[in-house]
Amino acid sequence: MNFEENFTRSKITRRDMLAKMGTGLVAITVSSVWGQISPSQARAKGVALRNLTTVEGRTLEALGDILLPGASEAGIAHYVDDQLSRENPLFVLKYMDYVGSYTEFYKQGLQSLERQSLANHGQPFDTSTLEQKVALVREISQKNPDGWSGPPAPLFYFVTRNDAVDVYYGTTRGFEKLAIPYMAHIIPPQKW
Amino acid sequence: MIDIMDKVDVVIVGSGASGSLLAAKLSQAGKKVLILEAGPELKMSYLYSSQIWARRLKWGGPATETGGKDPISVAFNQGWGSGGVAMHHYAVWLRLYIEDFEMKSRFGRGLKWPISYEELRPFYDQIQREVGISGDAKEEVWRPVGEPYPMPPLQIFNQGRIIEGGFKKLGLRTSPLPVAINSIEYNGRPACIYDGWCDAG
Repeated sequence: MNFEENFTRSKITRRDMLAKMGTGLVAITVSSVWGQISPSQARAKGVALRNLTTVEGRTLEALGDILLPGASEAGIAHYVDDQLSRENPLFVLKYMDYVGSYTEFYKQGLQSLERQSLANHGQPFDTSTLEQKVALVREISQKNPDGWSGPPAPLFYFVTRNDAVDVYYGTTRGFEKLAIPYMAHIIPPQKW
Repeated sequence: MIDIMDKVDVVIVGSGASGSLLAAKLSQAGKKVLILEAGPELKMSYLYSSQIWARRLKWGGPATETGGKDPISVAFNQGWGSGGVAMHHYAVWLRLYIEDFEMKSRFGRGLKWPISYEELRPFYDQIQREVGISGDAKEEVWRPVGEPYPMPPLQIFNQGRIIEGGFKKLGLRTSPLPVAINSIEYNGRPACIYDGWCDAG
């Protein structure tokens, strides 16, 4: 198959891909009463978060959509929440040599983002305007805003941006979306 | 295979790069060796072509951190399970420079090393013959003196060529990295097929 054919095959829409991500062609899964299901399915079924609060989940989804539109529908909050329960998680925070609790990393980061949004714009992060969200995300990507008390803001930005990429593109369909042929030598199990 | 009730000559804790090498050498010398490994047993078939999955090859045990006033966790460079860090390392095997052993006398930094590069040089040569290193000693003009690499360098692909071009524009030179990856068949092991999933083992 040549590059053009691969590229043509990859021209599926974001909506197409999200729909397909919900049909099982995924590797990352979330534990639920329905068994191992994809993060997007977990979100669609309203699976309760176990480590993050509802507000923290909403904040993470809103942040995810600023970092990579579609991340909320792909299930970023359920992905992170589920990984926080795992003994040997897969998320990128594991790479960051972060000293401290992974759960507290996310909770404190999300709570700090929420406090910052209220202080800067008088609105919770998820109900801020697009411009307000972008301005705040741009700020945390560079430095700790005044009054920030969570993990280092640029690290929090970097980690959550990677989470968004993982949950959105970390599938065989994600490779198609990127027009990169997925040439695996050992295909991962369908669910892990 | 050793029965758990057998008496052994040596017990090695950890099956990583050091422990496995030591066990192999001791076994070749006729010693009975037992390796204890706390992590999971990893097989070649577990090396899935996924960067996300490959994170499971990193440290997965209790949290670790360094000492000192600014401690850091060291999970990134740690392995987990059979093979340890050797299961996911990038196989870049550089020699230390002559100056590295003389930092104290030259710059007043670090500690005085009790050995010199010249003393270690025969072992560098022995290891690269035994393990097999691909590289280009002539192009690597900063490399301290030693035997040439036993295998030619790995191929350079577009990413490397772009970086090479950028360095040339700045008047700087590049050379292929010395890597413990076979560019040709060597010591009974086949050449790398450039599969690209190095992060996954």
